[in-house]
Amino acid sequence: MKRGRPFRKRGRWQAVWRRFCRNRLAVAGLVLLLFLIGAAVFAPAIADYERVIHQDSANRLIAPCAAYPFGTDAYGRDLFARVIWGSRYSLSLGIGSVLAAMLAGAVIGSAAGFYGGRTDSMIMRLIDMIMAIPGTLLAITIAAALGTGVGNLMIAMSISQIPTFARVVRSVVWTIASEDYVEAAKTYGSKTARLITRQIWPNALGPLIVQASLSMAQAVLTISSLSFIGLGIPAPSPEWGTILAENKSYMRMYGYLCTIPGFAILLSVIALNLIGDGLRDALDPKLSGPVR
Amino acid sequence: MEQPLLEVQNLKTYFPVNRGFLHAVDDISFSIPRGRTLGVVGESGCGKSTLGRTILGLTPAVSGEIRLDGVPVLGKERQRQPDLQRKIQMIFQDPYGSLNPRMSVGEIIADPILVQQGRTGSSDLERQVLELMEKVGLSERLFGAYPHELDGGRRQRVGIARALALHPDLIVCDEPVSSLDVSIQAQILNLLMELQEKEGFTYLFITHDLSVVRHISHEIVVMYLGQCVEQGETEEIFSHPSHPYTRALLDAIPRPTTKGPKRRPVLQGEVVSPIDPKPGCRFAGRCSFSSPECEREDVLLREAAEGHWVRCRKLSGENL
Repeated sequence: MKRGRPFRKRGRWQAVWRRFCRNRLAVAGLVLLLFLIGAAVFAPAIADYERVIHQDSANRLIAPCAAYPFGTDAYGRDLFARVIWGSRYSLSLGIGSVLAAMLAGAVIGSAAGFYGGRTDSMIMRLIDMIMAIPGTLLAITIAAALGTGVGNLMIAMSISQIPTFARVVRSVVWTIASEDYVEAAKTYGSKTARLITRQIWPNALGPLIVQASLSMAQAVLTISSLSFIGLGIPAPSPEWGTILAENKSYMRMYGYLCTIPGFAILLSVIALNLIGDGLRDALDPKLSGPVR
Repeated sequence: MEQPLLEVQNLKTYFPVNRGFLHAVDDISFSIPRGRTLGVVGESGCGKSTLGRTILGLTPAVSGEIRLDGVPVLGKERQRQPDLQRKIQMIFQDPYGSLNPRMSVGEIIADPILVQQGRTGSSDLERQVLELMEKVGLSERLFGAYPHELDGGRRQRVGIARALALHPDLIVCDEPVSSLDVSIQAQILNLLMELQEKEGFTYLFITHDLSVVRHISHEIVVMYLGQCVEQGETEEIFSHPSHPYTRALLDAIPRPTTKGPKRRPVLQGEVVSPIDPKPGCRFAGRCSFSSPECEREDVLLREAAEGHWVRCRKLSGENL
């Protein structure tokens, strides 16, 4: 008998990957996102941080040229360096807050979906109450209460997204919990935690991943909006929304100052949305189509 | 007399619904000696699956008693015996829904062992899993395969291997072959019987298919609306069916003949609601022999012959 036989082979996820790759737009989105993540990760190598903050009154409001690919702003700061470094805020906060919300939502939603009955009603009514407030407004409220700053923004973004994830997870878990294989695992004595993590979660992962990638797009947008109105990352930091806010008074004369950071936001949102749509189709071909 | 492995006494499982209680299992009693098979027969919705689930502890009972090897195992008693989960296992009807699509065959069969024994050496675990696979006739190369790559028969074999993994005493088979092709049904039934012969398993075999039950069971319980209407040795019931419902079931088996005796009329009427049923014989509305008194008071199980119990008022009249 051969030893060390692998207990699983990666059949399912390979099939998902193949279906994903067949979707050209989704692949384009992935390439775009990897490009943006690359920019964020290698920002120090691309542009020195000194150029982000260095003010040069001699070189104010220069249109894009060889020395300054994206031009300079009213303080003579290099817009290219600022946009590149800005991707760090948008992407890390977007991804980080969604992951945190996903984890919390998974735990809350699993409890509601698995136990059902009164537990479910209580948790979900609470979630409904939070959901009654629009997500962005909730984030604004929390950010305003906590004050500005990266950490607080992250908390605000996570909390405002928990309800969405809790709902998605709850409905999926509720469906799976009554499957025969979960019953079977009960008959041989699996404990609740093991049932949820081993039997239910692997099967709930698909919808969760889709929701996550679509939520990330929303999160990137919300972070920029909050920064734009002054509740996100405070002014000197090169967050995309903050850059937009700083430059909005020069927008009429120097259009590039707002279009370029705006375009960066647009690109990341499009990339994440394309990936989300692609994943949804790849994970469950039955769901594809125009219906949301 | 030797102590039976499983004793069920006056078991009642009710479900609360809007209008009262749904009597899914209403006062069922039977016992299965070790190494034997009891077939539970009845139409959809008669409570046979609920009976199995109650014995497994998946559904709480209202009253009654279940003893395994003489030890009560119902309700609170259950928690005191972690070993119980090992002793009673189940084979499910739907071989598609009963296997986790994200787990490989090896993982599915290994999971009960991991849950009950904790981490054992991985090579030892692998050896156990491969032995189980061999026992149920699964090729070794399917170890890493996923359920969706297997056909119905192989999937059901995986389900059987998972049930056997903990060396149970009693296996509850809930319609294990009714969703399989006929040729595969025979293979699976023969496998179950072979395993019983070799390892001495005891089966509670739930089915709606009388030909299947005749093939595999030593004893039969015929259920109608939560009640046992007839109970006895398989051959006795097939040769002397006494309850009108059992007769109707037997008449409904298609016979491969062109001549033969003329068919009795098919059952008329609807099944009455199992929600807070009125007193009286529950079959009376569909029975061609019922009299007004059948609908007035409850009918008790009476012994028609040695070990052959029937719940019918008209018992005395031979050949109804």
